[in-house]
Amino acid sequence: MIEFFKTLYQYRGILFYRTIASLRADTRAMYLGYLWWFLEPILNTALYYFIFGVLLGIKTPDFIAYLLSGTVIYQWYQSSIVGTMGTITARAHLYRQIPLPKYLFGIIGVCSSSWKSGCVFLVMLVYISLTSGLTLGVHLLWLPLLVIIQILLISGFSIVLSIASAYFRDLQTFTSVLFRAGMFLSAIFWDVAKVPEHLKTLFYSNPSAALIQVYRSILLHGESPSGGLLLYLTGLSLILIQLGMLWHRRIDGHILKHIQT
Amino acid sequence: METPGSVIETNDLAEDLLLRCEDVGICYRRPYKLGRSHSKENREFWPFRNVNLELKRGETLGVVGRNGTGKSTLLRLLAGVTHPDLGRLIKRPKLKIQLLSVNIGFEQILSGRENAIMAGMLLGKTRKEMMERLDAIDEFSELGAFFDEPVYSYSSGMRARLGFSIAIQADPDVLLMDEVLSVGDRQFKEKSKGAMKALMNSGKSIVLVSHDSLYLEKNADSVFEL
Repeated sequence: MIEFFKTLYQYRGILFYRTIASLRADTRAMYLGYLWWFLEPILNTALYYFIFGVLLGIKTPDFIAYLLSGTVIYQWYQSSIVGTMGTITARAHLYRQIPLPKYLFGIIGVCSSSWKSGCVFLVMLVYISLTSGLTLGVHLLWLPLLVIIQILLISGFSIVLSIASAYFRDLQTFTSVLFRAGMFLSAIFWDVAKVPEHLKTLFYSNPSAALIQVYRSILLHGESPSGGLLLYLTGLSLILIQLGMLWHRRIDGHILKHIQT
Repeated sequence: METPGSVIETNDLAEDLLLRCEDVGICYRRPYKLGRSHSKENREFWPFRNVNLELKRGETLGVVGRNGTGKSTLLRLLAGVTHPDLGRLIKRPKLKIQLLSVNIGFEQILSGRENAIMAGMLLGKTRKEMMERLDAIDEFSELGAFFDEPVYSYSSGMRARLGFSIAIQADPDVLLMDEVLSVGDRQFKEKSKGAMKALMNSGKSIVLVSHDSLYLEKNADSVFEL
């Protein structure tokens, strides 16, 4: 665990400049460049609003803010984790040349997609405070902590899945199915209050559902988040990081001999 | 005797020795796949085993061998990128070993200058140190105006020249070179051979993989055959 944070500190320069480079490479290649960061969640929200709000008539208080928060958080979560898979194979030519921790480029992916999603998140905050009015209070102090927990959670997934997906390519296809399921199971576009009482524990064991719920209680309901969910998310992140680091120590010197690139 | 693979960092080596391989072997393993035999013989491939090798301070060691005998694998082992599956690799702690091959993972959309900084940082230099070396890299690589153009616009020869120039400037204790002297046009080849000569005389340890046995015979202190 401590080893993980030490490594991040040791490679902070590389993390920083590689992140900038990957953001730049991303946007230079596209005509609309940076605009896509914002267009994508807006288009998704509009689509969900049309299907679920207009056609199916699902209503929650402040439905647009409800949809938007779900979409933005889920996209942050999904794009970071999906982006991390296959980084070892994609960067094999570099890993073959310089002894680097094999999760380095996964974490760089987490940084760059978190930067993108963070910008969108800020815009969403502005929207929520302008329309429904963000309730000011002590509960807002939870927000920065929550962002940190979210990044830790994504990093944990990133370490484990970047290694796993190098050994089992099938995993990349499989996770795209999982993430589609996760999208329906995270109450992004339907009312979370509809989940029956006896299934709540099961529902919130899905990390993205728990994450979105915690964000919504702060942003939409003006409440401090549930301690149980926060504890669960923190615990899960730390366990994932720890497991990932243990696995990494075993495979570090050998993985490049055993994977197809 | 065959022992399970390990890497040991210690100063407990003969005085002029930087690293030593004791009976090392490397094994490549095929990934599992549904419907394919998973027997040991079918999955495993050993390019070499029981290799013994020593590298002294300031020595230039040539490595020769036919295709597929594991020359590049050996360099990766020495660079610390892969660990042995058999035998021991013993090296001094904090030894800066650098594997030089011609394409140091360039970011296609960034310029040669930006790539030089980033490649240098991966090789353990700070950003500031690399900034100070930019002029030297620019000059040695002879890229001219292309130095500030994105790398995707480079010819393969230009890429190779950039890679070689960065590696020379990154200043390690041990340089491992995999066929890099066949880089670029004849003029650049002559120039890089000159730079190599200067490196050899500067007291650095160099391990050189090449098919050019004539060059090795003339320039290496000893030649190892795989």
